[in-house]
Amino acid sequence: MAKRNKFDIDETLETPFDLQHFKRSLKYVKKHARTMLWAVSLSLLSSLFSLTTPIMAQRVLDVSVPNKDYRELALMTVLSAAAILISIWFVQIRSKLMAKVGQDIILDIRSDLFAHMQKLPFTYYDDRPHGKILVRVVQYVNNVSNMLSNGIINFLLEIFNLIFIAVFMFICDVRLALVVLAGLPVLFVIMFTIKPAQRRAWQQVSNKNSNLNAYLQESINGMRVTQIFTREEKNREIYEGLADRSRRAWYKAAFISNLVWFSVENISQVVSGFIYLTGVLWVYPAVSFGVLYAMGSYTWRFWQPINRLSQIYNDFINTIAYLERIFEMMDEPVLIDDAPGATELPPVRGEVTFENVTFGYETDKPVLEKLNFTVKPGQSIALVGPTGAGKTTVVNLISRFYDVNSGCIRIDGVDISKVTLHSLRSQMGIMLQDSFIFSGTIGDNVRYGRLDADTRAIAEACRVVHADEFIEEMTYGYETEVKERGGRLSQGQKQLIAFARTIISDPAILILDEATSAIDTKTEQYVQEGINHLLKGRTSFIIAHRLSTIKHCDLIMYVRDQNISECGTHEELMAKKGDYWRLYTAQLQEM
Amino acid sequence: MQLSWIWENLQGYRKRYILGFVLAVLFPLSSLVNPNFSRMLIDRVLLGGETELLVPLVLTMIAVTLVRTLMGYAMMGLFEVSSQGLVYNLRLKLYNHLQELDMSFYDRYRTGDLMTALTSDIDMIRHNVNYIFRTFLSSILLFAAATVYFLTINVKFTLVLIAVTPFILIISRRYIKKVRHVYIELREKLSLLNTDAQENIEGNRVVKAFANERYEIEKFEEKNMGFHDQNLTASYMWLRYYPWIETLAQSMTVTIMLFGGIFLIRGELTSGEFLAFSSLSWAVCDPFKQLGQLLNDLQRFFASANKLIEIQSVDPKITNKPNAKTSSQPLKGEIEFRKVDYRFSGRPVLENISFHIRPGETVAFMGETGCGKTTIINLISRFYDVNKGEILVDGVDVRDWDLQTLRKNIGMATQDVFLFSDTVDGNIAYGDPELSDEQVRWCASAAAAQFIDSMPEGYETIIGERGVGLSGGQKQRIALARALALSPPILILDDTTSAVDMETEKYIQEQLESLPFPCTKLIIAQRISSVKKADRIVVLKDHRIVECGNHQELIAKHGYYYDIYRIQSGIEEVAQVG
Repeated sequence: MAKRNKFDIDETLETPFDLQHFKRSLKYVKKHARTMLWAVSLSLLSSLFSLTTPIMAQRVLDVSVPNKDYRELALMTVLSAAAILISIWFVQIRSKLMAKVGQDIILDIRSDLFAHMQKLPFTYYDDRPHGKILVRVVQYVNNVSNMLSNGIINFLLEIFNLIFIAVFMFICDVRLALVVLAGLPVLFVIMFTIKPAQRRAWQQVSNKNSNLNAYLQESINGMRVTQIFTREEKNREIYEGLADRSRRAWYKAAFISNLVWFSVENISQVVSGFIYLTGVLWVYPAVSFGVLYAMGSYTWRFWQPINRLSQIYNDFINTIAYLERIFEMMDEPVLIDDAPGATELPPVRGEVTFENVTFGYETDKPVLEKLNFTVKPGQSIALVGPTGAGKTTVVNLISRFYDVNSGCIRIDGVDISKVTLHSLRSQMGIMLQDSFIFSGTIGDNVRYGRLDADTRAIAEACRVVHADEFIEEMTYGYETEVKERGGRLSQGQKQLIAFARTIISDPAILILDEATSAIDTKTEQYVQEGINHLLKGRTSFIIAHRLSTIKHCDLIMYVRDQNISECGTHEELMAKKGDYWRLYTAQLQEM
Repeated sequence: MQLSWIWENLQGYRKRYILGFVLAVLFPLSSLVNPNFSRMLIDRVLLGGETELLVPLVLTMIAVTLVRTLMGYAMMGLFEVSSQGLVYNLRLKLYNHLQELDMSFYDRYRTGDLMTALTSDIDMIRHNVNYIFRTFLSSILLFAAATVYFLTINVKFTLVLIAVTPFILIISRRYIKKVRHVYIELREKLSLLNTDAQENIEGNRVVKAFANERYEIEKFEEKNMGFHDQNLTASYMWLRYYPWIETLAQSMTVTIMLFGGIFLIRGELTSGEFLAFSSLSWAVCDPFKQLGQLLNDLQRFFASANKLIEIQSVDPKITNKPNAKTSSQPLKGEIEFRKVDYRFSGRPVLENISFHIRPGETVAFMGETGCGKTTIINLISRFYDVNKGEILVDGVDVRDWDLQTLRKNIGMATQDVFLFSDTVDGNIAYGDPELSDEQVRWCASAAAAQFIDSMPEGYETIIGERGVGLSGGQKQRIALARALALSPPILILDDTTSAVDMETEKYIQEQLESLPFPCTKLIIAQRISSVKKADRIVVLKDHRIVECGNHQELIAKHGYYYDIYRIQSGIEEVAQVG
């Protein structure tokens, strides 16, 4: 297992800089190639049209004014106004097209990323602060939008521009043109020299930013604990440190990136100086004053697009830092996935078989070893044993949250690793230890178990688990808004909602992992009564500590030392005077 | 208002920010220097043949550029530093503010909303302070300077030339009015997107448990699409206005041509003057070219700034009184409720609650789910304030205690165990980071958390966020160790051992009985075994205390407690079978 990440540890990324990330992102750009081609053409046409106005202005000065020709003047005005209008119109269309392309691209990237996230195993989420995942899905994806749409277009346009001017320069004077171009290698040397530092700097920005956000999100989620423990001062210090590091990383990146602009400006000035020097000292008067003058202005025009290109280049380096994080997440292996050719699990009767199942979260430390048992359809099974013995692991394996290291788990004789995850899990009702409540109404939270459930079904499910009373007492009943962190529901109430959410899914196999730990004994009894008829005909696995919850189960399994040490009914196990008996009598003595 | 808010938060960076603005004004002006030299070069060297001036001129121009770019570099640096400084100040302020706010605030704002505010909104502020404000200012200055310059040349022509600007301003105003809500909406859509993604991440286990991945994807797609559409709405809105504004702006070029021609023909303008106009026409046109970006980003700035100001202006309800009582000595741990009423949104949660707990006593609370047990302890550590009556700790009303003093004296292990993604050691020492290793180990062993030793890296193992990956019982025991680490005079255990097996619970109870520091214990639990040894057991029902006494007394009473006792010990069944 890789070491877990926390807020103050940078996530290292050891991929050499290459265009691979960018190439990969072109996959998203490709389907807009035609639109982008249109955009480029429109931009070119638009600048072509706007280039005609100086010609017309020229004509006004040279022809209309000396001749006092108002008609000519009017004509030229109309023509240039038309040219401007057309060029504006083209720009408008281009902008519209590209706005859509840019948004479509990030929509696609985000969709893919999110869909991939849904397949990632628990361990992915357990191994890093959640804030670090969140920034990738939202912020980072937003950050790459401009580069992948307008960035590419502008890049192409500037390149055209550059070629265009270069051609003119060479037509004008080859020697002087070569002098202008001689500045380029110098620029490249500078750019390549600072590139590694620049790239590292932007990676640091994304790292430090991610750390900061991770800490922030956890702080918000754990605010109550912080206030209970009056840790505010210490947390402020930590946050201050993280904010400071984030800002320093930014300074560094900005200062390095601005060097590119600085170099371009100075090199172009030196180059234009050289043009005059060589022009005057070397080729003048062999070339005319006009040529020299033209070359002077071409130099300036040639380095303008280079200046803008260097800006695009900076954005590019910056974007890569985000792209690599996005793709790193997309490449995160899906550990639990449908096997090739996986079939749908037919409607479940409820027979569950473990055959020689060995499993460990780390391969060298097995939690369960060669576990064997068979549960008949409709049986209720209680898993008991010391904390951390592997009870939750057993139920996690049945739901295939993890894959077994060796052996096989069958439901109705079908190996669960050969069926689709959806067909498997959608037939199970799994109630986890922590009852996460989504923000939304209470009704919505119950409906989460069966998305097409109507209000009657929701009320019925709540009635079964005895949650209807407190919900109906609330001002807005089932429409009451709750928040994931909301302090307004007690832990027991949250569990009851989660319980209702589980049973509304009408599962063939029910798994209750400490489902009633925070519920008082009286309510628990009502819940028991409520679900008793529901449990008939369904296989159920129950993990609980209160023996009153356990003793009615058809089969009690005592989990210890990576295996099941005892298995039988309450009476059988009591007669056996083993682990279960000890546990039970200990509890009675406590009474 | 938003601008004075910016100014206030620029504290410590104001001088640099102003200096940046000075350079932002000088910098464009400095680009007017070299054209003079190049004209001189052409006139005197190329045409006049003064070749000896060539090298000095070229060198001067290079030197000027060097100085100019250094100035530009310094300007950008100043803006980076001051805008980042502002962001830094804002972040700390907001973070501190969030730490002061009480639960009623967190009931209203989702994590995703707050994350959006402290990430995207702050970044929007940074972008504006760093770039947009200065561009806005230099655009206005450029336009003003060029206009003044033009006026000195030819008043009439200048007036004709800038006649369109009022129209541009009118259209811009109308646009701003229309686009404002679009950007406010866009911000909301982003917040929704953040919330949806964030809850999906937090609830990833529930998603998988219900095999609701497809539903989650659909739900997210909707938000993703909403954000996408709103972005396009904003872009398209601008593009509807763009042709008008751009046409008006560019009409200046045509104006120069048309009226320039007319004025020239009529002799009201010399060709030298005309050249001056046409060569500087960019100075009046260009500011409008950036208008779109400026207007849009400014609107986004206001949308973001308003959100941040809104969060900042939420006043914490639970605050210290002006001369709140502090104490550097540990409290004695005496707690008294006097006729306490607490209501939430008009409904009673607690009614007429009175009890007195002496220092060192152990008192347990029982009752049905939602009966107000947790509210009692929340009132003691003042997460809410009572509506009526008073709560005294060491004889002082909790509202008169300094909040920090009060809470530092209370060690609490809450029901909903929240652990941080930090090392086990860091989690246990959460309330007191200075704690020594031995003390951490002692706390862990008192809380029966010896399992830590068998974790991959022992106390240095990093726990996943919220403690995922640990079993419920393991989390509870770490939370207990964390509470013990404060050596608190008042220890509150809110259902802390519900997921712990009996033997472990018994061990924990023994440890708690022999704590090396004086400690009043409040225990909330469902299991009889957890509460029976308490000095007193308080049973709550329908917001009131219905039973109170020790185990024997309550058993004798044959009330609620006795019922629970019978159910849990299985006496009922025995009786039935028998």
